[in-house]
Amino acid sequence: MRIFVKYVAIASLPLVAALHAQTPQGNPGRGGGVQGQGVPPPTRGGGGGGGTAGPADKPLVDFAAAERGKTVWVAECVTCHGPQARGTDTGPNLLRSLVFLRDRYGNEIGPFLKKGHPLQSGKPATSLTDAQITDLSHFLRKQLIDTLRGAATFTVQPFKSGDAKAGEEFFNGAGKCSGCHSPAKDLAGIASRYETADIQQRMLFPGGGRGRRGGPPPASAVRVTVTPQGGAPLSGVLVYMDDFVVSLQEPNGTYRSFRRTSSLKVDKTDPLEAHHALLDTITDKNIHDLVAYLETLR
Amino acid sequence: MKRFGFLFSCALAAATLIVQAQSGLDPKKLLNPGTDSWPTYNGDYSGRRFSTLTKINANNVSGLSLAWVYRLNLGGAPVVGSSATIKATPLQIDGILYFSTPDNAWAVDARTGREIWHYTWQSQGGNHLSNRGVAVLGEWLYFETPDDHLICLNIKDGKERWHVTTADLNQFYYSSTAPVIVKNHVITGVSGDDLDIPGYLDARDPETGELQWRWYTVPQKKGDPGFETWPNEDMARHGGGMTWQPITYDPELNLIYVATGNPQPVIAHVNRPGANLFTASIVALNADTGKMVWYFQPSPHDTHDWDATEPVVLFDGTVSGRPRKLLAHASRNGHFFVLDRTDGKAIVSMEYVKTNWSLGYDEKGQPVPNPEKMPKVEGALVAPAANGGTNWQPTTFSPATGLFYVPTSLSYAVFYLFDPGENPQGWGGSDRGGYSESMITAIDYKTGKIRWTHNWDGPARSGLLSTAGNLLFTAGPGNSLVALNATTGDPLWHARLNAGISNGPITYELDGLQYVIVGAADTLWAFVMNR
Repeated sequence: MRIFVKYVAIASLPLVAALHAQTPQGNPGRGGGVQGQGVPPPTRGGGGGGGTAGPADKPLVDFAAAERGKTVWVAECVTCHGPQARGTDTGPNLLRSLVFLRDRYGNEIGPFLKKGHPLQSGKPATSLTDAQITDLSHFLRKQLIDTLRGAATFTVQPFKSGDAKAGEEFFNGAGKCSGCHSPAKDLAGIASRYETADIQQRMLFPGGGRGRRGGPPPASAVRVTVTPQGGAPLSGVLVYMDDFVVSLQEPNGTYRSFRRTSSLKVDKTDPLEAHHALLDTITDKNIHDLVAYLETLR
Repeated sequence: MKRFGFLFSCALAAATLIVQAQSGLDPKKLLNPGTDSWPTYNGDYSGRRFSTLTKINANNVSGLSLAWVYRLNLGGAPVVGSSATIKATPLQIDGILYFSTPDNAWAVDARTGREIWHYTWQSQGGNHLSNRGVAVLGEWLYFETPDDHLICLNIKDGKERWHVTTADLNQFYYSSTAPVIVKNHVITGVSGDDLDIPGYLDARDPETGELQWRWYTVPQKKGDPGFETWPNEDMARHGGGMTWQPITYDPELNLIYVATGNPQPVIAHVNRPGANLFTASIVALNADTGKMVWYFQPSPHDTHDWDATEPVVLFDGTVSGRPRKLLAHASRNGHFFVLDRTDGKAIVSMEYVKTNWSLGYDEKGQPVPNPEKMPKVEGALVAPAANGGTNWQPTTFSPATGLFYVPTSLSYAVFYLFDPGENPQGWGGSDRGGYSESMITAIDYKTGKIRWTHNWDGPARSGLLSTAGNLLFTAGPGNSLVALNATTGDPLWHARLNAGISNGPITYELDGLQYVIVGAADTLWAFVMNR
């Protein structure tokens, strides 16, 4: 018996939520979909409290300051430390620098630079103003945030899928998709409604929807038929089942629960069983080809 | 005067009672814990989580009843992360339970659930994901905090004796593991895999908290053991490998067994070619020096967040007619291993749940990763998901049945590379979506073959406990605590609690009665056999 579970991919995701002051803590807004579900681009982030990594006084990032800092970075630092401050052959990775990680708005990197650190332009580091150093600090902190789970960049990148023709053959052949689905009916225009990665996810892991509250259950809902000994069978949408109890909702809305005993017959039907079974056999090539085919359904 | 004398006697008697009740933990008890206590994270050093108690057994467990319920009292402090979730395994010493959540520690009467004291640490930040529990030695209790402190409290009143810093919060380290006392060492670990930082295991002085030795899980300089499995010193020094599973210990061999976390960067891996030792590994260390004696790597060059920080369980057994000192481990990557714990040589390497990411085993019995199943920009379908075939939750080994029990997930997810650049940092990718089935798997340690599987009808995962009463206690679906027949896997008893079980159950005998204690979110539940 298989139960479909949609779950958040990583247990400890709420990280960047707290780096963005305006995002509710612990809810980076991720789940069923793939693209565009991340944290909205913040104008200012940082701070935040529980459930998150880093010190409580972790610096807030002022994104306007970070933009100004980028100008200084490009003029004085990028050649040695690289565009993302991750280092080059001639300068270390600053995202791993303790001087930077302990810095708060320039209080560590300022004195460090002014001890005589060389600049790209050949000017002495003492020529950097305090404001420029603060801006640099914001720029660096922004680079750090961009590496964290939940950052705006922490999402599936655009990609090209496989061979649409091979995908169509799989759809109508080995994949047995055409037994339930039709490019002219339920899948018509699917590529206009979803991004590539969403199509991929929905094909592999369908069934996230529970139907509208008070409305009819979705076609993908698990059905169960319970037959007490000597009694008439009762069927409905499965509400809950474990080793001891089973409960269902009949089509007329009546809720019933039963103690499971050896004399109670329970038959479960999962409309998504074919999708679940496919996971054991489908190859990555099949997946990418199938998605390429589905992408042609506009 | 007489009256005064009477009062004095009463006061003296009361004081004596308290002293008897909280006289501390004799270190000898750690080597030979009785069934009347649970004095360390796993109940003993072996990590078996097996009790010889039989008062609750397969024949009478249907009559198990509620003894008491204790709901966490945070004293008005706001809930931060899981500060109101009991992931800790409580210790039980002289009739008192001691346990913790992030920033908090409690003492609770094991007979009644009455709170005796509560301590709150004023946090300076850090990840409040988890706290696995406390250690006790003599009159002192030790626990770690999200902002990287080791705190020592008096077990009588919860008053702080001292605290020391164990890691740098600026580098996003946090601390969540349960310390374990080994001789005159408090063994503590570190957590955190957001930035590229090295893991380490510390031994600290129980009297002062001073560092006695530190073992880094990844090479800190050229020439260190394992350096050849990294491309350069910078990647090695920042290679991850956190130590957030409480250690196990063999007193006879004087070896500490530590499981290590995933390498960094976690998913995007192009800048760390090689096996990345000693991440995702099981390592034996000399308890007095912290020097490595041997290692075994369940996930060479991990690219799926499959740390090896699942329990490392020690027991003696017979394999091919020979008595052996063994170590067993069901790893997050879906493979089960039995090693000779004297030298780390593999005896059994076997899949315990569906996997699709490896190309067999190497000469050491370690899985060989399939490059095709490493994360891709366009995604790769992988079993298991990042959450693993199992995870940190305690497994159990029953010498009575010879079976090793694993809270198991059969799962699939697509692993995407988010950062396809040449020098990724942090994570650089993730798994998305997912399909999962929950079950209990009972494995014959001699062969690695699955004796039975009990499938759940919904999601369920918690720590496990086995007993000589032929019972296995586990979470079931629907917030249930379930007792299974340990030999057959048949469900025998259950109780639906307030929330899903969030720790590993424990058992002990007090006043001739056997108790089972389990944590479910903010509530500690005690069940007892009164018959």
